[in-house]
Amino acid sequence: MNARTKKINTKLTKLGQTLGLDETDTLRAKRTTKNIVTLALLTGAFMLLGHLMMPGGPVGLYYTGVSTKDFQILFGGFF
Amino acid sequence: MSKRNYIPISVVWETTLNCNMKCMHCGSSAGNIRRNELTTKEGLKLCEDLNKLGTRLISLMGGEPFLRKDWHIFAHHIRDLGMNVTIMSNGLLINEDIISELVKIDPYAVTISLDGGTPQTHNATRGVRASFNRCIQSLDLLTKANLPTTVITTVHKQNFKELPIIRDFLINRGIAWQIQMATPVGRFPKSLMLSQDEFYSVAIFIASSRKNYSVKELPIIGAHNFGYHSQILPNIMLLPWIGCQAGLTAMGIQSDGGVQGCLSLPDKFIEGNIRKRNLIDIWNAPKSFSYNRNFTRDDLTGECKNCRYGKRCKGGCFTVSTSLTGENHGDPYCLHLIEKKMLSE
Repeated sequence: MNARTKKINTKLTKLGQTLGLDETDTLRAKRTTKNIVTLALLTGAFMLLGHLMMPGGPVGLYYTGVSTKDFQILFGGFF
Repeated sequence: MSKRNYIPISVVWETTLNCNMKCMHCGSSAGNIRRNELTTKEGLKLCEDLNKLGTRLISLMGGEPFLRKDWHIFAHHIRDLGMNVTIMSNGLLINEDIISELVKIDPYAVTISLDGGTPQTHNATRGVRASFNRCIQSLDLLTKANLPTTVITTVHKQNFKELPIIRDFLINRGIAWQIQMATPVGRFPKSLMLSQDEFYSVAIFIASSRKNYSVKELPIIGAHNFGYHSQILPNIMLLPWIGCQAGLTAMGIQSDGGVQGCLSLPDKFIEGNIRKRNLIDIWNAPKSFSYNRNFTRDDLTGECKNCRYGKRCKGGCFTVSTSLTGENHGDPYCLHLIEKKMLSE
């Protein structure tokens, strides 16, 4: 483990303790390659969706109160 | 000047400022009814205009929306027009009658605010004794009726340590959970706002909960002010952050007809009033919502100015930025920014 990673892990563990998380839980919360790839794909999908719905540039989607329906793939029932 | 066609996909309508609670973090300082609130007829016309603009979701908010006797007339009308409706309540008034009306409406979500894991904390935050018990009863009624139910927890210094208690209560109840940060607008004092370290702790908590529980067990997200572009944590919002959506895909309507990109913004960002000018004209006017529609990298302020994500991020949450810095595009509560500081210490 390099010094940078060690420094991050130490700080993260300290911050996690504030809400009762132990070291294992805190370090497991760090992002993984799968998270990075998923986010990149989702970003692409929503930028494309923005172009299709409102030609001229990317848009995101705003939500005020999340719904259980939002956790279905691409907002079940929303579009 | 922008030539794009914008669609207010998601609209929040403050149906009334009248409220039966007195929450310390209320961004609208709700309590008393606003002067000249929209009539039923005006409200129905508003729904029709929003439908013409392409709106997909209208969230009925307050104050407390169930204090308006015509709330169900609006909700049914929205559904009849083919749009989705969400009702954002504090849970104090929900009873069997309201539940049976909600079942007929088939809402996209009913959201209830739960701001503490204990009665003491929740009641103190909400300014009403016994509101915790009423809130829990409302959640039971909603879930028993199989209505899509969401808990929204607004975190500040006095309640954020109770997140694990709330999590344990919500697991396996089929309730979605949204955690958002209280910002110093309305009656919320800046002194109770989370520190940047506390903010980061909550982000770790959300990321950890998402790792430890499936979406079925605990559908949890951080709201739009829990970002951005972390290099250490996964995205904890529902969607990737592509900048504040006020005036792009989002709109807020005040109870007297004032139109804003986001209801959390101060009144100087009111673009017009639907009593004086047609809503469609306000939305489509070339100068409307220019802070986001005509945003350029040069508008970034503070630490965001030199950030490599600045152009896409637009400097985070517009409301957090304006309330803390007075500038439009420089939200200091940013995971990426906090991480940079963390590594330079």
